[in-house]
Amino acid sequence: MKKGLLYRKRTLLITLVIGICHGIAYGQTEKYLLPTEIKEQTIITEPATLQKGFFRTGIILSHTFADKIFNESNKRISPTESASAETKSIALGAHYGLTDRLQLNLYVPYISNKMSASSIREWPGVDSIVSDKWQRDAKGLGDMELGVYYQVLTEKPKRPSVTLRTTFRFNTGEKNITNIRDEENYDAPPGTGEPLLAIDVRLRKVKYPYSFTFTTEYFYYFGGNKVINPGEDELSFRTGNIVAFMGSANFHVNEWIALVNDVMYFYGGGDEVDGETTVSERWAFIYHPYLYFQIKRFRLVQSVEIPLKGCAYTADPQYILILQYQF
Amino acid sequence: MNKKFNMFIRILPIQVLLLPVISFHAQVNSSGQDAIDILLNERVVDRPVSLHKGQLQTNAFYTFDFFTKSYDHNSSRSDLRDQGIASAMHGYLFNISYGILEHIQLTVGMNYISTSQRSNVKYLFISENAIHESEITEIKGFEDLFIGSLLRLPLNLTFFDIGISLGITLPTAKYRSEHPEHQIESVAGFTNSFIFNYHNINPPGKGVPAFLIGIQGKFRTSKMAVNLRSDYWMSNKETTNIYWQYRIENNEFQYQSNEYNYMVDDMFSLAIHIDYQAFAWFDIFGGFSSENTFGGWSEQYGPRISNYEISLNSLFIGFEIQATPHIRLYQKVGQSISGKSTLAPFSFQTGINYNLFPIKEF
Repeated sequence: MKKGLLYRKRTLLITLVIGICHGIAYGQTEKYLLPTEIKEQTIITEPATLQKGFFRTGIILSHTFADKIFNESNKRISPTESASAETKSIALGAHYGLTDRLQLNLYVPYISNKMSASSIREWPGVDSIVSDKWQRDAKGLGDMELGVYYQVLTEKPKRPSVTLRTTFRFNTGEKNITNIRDEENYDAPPGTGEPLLAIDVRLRKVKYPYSFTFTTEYFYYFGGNKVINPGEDELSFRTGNIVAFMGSANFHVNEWIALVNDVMYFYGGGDEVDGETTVSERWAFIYHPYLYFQIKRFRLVQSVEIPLKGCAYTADPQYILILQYQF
Repeated sequence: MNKKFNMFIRILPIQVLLLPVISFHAQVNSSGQDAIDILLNERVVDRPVSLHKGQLQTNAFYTFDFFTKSYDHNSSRSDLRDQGIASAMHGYLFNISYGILEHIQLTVGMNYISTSQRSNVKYLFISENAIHESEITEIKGFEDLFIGSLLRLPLNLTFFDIGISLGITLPTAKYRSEHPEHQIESVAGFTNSFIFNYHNINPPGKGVPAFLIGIQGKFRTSKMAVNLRSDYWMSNKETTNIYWQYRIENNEFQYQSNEYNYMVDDMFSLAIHIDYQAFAWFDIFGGFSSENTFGGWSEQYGPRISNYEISLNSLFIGFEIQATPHIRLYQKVGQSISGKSTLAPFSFQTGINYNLFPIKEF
C-alpha cells in the first residue's frame, strides 16, 4: 500500500517536473525572434542600440519659419522688424550596430536658409521715398555629426536599459559669410563654425505596448572664430553650454503606428562674441511628439517640435519628416 | 458519485434559468458588436456623407498656414518673404459630431487661431526728427461656436449619396478690437529719434450670428469617390465694433475708442474632393477648393465703404489612415494657386478623429 502510494507520488512529481520544464522551454521558444522580425521592431520594442551588423539609413527633412520668439522676459512676441527667416534642411542619417551594444551614427545635413528684410525710408519734406531690401541666403553642406552609443546596461524585467551616447559635431560647413554684394546683401554661412560635443545618458524601459525614457544631456561648445560682419576680420565667439533633461512616454496606437511624446527642458549659459556677452542665458520647455509609421523595415516619422515656454529662444514649431529603412 | 449527481441536479434549475439570458446576451453582443466593428472599419469611399446612427466622432486638428505670398486687388501675386513680412497662422480645430438618426448628424465645434501680421518697417525723416515705425496686427483667440446639422437624403443608392448642411455660428467669441499696446522708445544718443511700435489686437469673433446652408454629394465606385461640396455663409445683420485713435503726450500713447458700424461678408465656397482607396486602411485624396467673400462693408473711416471682395483658389492633397477601429489619422497640404485681395497660404493640416458608438444597441 505504502509502496503504491510512494510510486504514485513519484510519478506525479516527475510528470510535474517534465511539464514545468516543457512549459518553460516552450515559453522560451515563443519569445525567440527571427532576425527579420528583429529588423521590423518598432521604436517602442527595439533595443536601445542597433544589434550587431544591423544598418539603418534614411533622410531627415526639417522646416521652420521664424515668426515669434520668446524674449528675455519669457514672453512670446512677434519681432517688430519686417524681417523673416525660413530654415530648411535635408540630411542623411546612418546608424550601424558594431556590436549588440555599440552603435555608430552619422548625420550629414544640407542647409537651405532664406533670410530677408525690407524697410521704407521716407522724407515727407522733400517728397522722397526709398525702399530697401536685403537678402541673406545660406545654402550648402552643414556641420556633420558623428555619434557613438554604448548600451552600458541592457534591459531586464526589473531594470531599464542604460545607454551612454556621445555625439561630436565637426566644422564641415562653410563658417564665414561669402559672396558679399554690399553691407546688407551677402550669402550667410550654412555652417556654425563651432565644434560641439554632446554627451547624454538615457534610461529606457519597455512595457509593451508602452515604453518610457529619461535622458540627461550636456552640450559643450568649443567656440571658434568667424567673420560676423561683412568686410571685417574674424571674431572669436562661443555659444553657452547647455544642460537638458528629457522624458518620454510612448505607446503603440496599433501594431504599426507608434506615438512618441517627448518633453524637454534645457538651460543654456551666455553666448559671447569677441569677449562680450550677447545673450546672458536661454532656456526652453519643449514638447516634441513623433508619429511613427512602421511598414516592415520601412519607417515614416513625422514630428513637430513645439516650444511651450522659453527665454531668448524661438517660439516657432519645427516640422520634421524622417524616412528610414533598416537593412 | 451520488454527491456529484445531487449537486448537478441542484444547480440545474439555475443553469436552465440563466441559459436564455446568457444566450441572448451573447447574441446581442456578437451581432451588435460585429455591426459596430464593420461600421467603425468602414472604408472612406464607402462611408455615407453623414455619420451612422449612434456614431460619435471627435475631431481634433492642427493647421499651420504659412503666408509667403499675397494677391492684390488685381489678383497679382507678390512674394512676402522678399519684403520680410511673411507670417504664419496656427489653428487648433475641435468638433464633435453625433449621428442622432441614420440620416441626421449634429455637429458642435470651436476653433482657436493665432496669427501676427507685420507691415514694412518705415523710417520717417522730418526736419531734424528721425522716426522708426513698425506695425503688428495680432489676431488671436477662439472663434465663434458652430452648431450644425447634416441631413442625408434617404436615397439608399450604393453609388450616390447627397446631404444638406444647415448651421449657425453663435457670436460667443470676443470680436471687439482690444486696447492696442503701442510703444514709443527714444533712441539712445539721439535726442530727436524715436521708435514707434504699433501693436493692434483683433479677436477673431464676428460679433453677429452667421448662417450656413450647404449641399454635398458623393459619387462612389469600389475604389474611388468624388465628393462635391458647396456652402453659403451669410450674416445679413450689421453690428458695431471699435477702432482706437491715439495721440502721443509726454512720450506716451493716449487712446480713444470710437464705435463704428460694419457688416460681415457673406461667403460662398466650393470644393471638389477625390478619394482613392489604395488599401482598406489607407485613403489618398486630392482636390480643389474655392472661397469667395462679398457683401460686407464698414464705416470705420466715416462713409460706408464696401469691403474688398476676396477670393482664394487652392489645390490640396492628403491621406487618411484607419489606425484602429476607433482612430483615424488625417493629413492634408494645400497650396493656393490664385486669388484676389488676400494672403496666399501654403497650409498644412494634421488631425486625429476618434469614433465610437457609445450606446451599444442601435
